[in-house]
Amino acid sequence: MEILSIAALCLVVTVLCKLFDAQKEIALYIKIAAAALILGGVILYVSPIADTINTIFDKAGASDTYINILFKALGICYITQFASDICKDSGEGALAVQIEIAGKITLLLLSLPLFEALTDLVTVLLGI
Amino acid sequence: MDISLIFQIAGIGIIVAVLNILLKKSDKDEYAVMINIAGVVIVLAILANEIAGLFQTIKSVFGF
Repeated sequence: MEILSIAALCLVVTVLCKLFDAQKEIALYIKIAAAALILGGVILYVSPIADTINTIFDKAGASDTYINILFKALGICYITQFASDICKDSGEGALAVQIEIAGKITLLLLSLPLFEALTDLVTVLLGI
Repeated sequence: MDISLIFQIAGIGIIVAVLNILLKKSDKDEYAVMINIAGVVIVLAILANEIAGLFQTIKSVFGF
């Protein structure tokens, strides 16, 4: 499976970063490149998962707007996690927190229609 | 997942390091600083393309 090559790649990259302790920027570049490669490689596995989830929810009859919102939220989480961890690694704690706050706000913005749907559902159920 | 990019960046880093030491030993510190800046800029250009590719795949997979 792909996990062996990913683990080996991570070990090689950590050794390379130790090699470039003198030039911090090259070590940081190698870390960013490795993180980007691994995330890019793993993200491609998500599409079959997305398809199966879509078919399951189609059978259950739920409208697929909610599923799209879920997957968009997952994408936002991946990107913010990727960026904030790299900033944290290179010592920029403040930037990492800023990215996470921005990610949370975009997630909230994304899920506004869900809140409205929920309140409508509740009012219908309670018969108000 | 071609890992040649990582070894490319490592190679550039090693070349910049060697040139740096050479120039410092021959009392050309200004050129050493310029070589450093050049190396950083080149690697940044390579990396920018890679990050753009990553964000493009994320957008396409998660339906942005």
